[in-house]
Amino acid sequence: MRALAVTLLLLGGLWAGPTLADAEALREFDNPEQRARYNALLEEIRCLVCQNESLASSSADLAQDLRDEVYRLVVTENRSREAAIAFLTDRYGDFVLYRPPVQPNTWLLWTGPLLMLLVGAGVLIAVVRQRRRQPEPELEPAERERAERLLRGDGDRP
Amino acid sequence: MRPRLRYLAPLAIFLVIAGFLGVGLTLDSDRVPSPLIGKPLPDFSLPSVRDPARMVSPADFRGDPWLLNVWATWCVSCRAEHGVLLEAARRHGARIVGLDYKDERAKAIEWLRDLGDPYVVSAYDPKGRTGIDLGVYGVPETYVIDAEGIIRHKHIGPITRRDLEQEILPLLAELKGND
Repeated sequence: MRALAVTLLLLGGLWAGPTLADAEALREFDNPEQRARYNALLEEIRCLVCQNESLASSSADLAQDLRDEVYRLVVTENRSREAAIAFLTDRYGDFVLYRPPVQPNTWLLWTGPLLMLLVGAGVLIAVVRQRRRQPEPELEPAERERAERLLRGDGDRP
Repeated sequence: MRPRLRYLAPLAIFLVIAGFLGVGLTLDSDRVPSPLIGKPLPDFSLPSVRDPARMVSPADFRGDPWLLNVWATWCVSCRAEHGVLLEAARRHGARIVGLDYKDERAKAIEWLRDLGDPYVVSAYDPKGRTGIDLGVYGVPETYVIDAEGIIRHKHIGPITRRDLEQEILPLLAELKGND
């Protein structure tokens, strides 16, 4: 009996009131595709108040408003993913997108990693080639004799 | 690779990285540039804070440049900014329209009564729907709008006296001179 009371008390500690997930679970959708489109958009859009969080994870007031807005666009107006994104970037700029569009001012951003890889590969090839061109170092007669002994398996003693 | 080049390469890489980081330090990621600059102010029609029967629209203010200031009573830095707005309106004759964002009417009226009212009129946007159309994400925000209703500048965060004197007032004067 006492064990049960303690267990219930401990479990009670885990209950932290209504959460973000609860509020989102109450949303109603016409079909699974619509729900998927809505959820995918929330993951892709940045909350402008706490900039390292997506709309899906942010509990900021503005994030809640923007979730309602995305819901309105996707469910009430049944707009496409692209139309919903255009609605938001028209107001907040490309910064709201976690995945920036490919356009002249983001070319370096998108191709940067590949360029770095190519530079690295170039340096690697140059170093390997240079090493290959270097002549083998000549051995002293005593060293050569010792090496041959080792290769025959006669041990390292003269 | 020639020996001299080998020693210079890390230095060159360091300089490139330092250059990028140095530029990064001068950027303020809290200030997100608005895509609305150079475009017409999104239209809205909202009741006034003081008089729910009076509707406020951007078209009401055409003909002269004006400021649209987004404020709220829950916004601490709006309180800091308030004195500067009063000065802009009373001493410099700036036309400031308020947008009371996600606020309660009674509190807003009390705020204007206690602190003074720098606004020609304040539009009441309790749900923040017009705020979204304007791309508002951090109150206070102030838009400088020209006589034709085009957004020319957006100031994010509270306007300091220095911002007012060096940024806002010169721009208003310039926009007025263009007519």
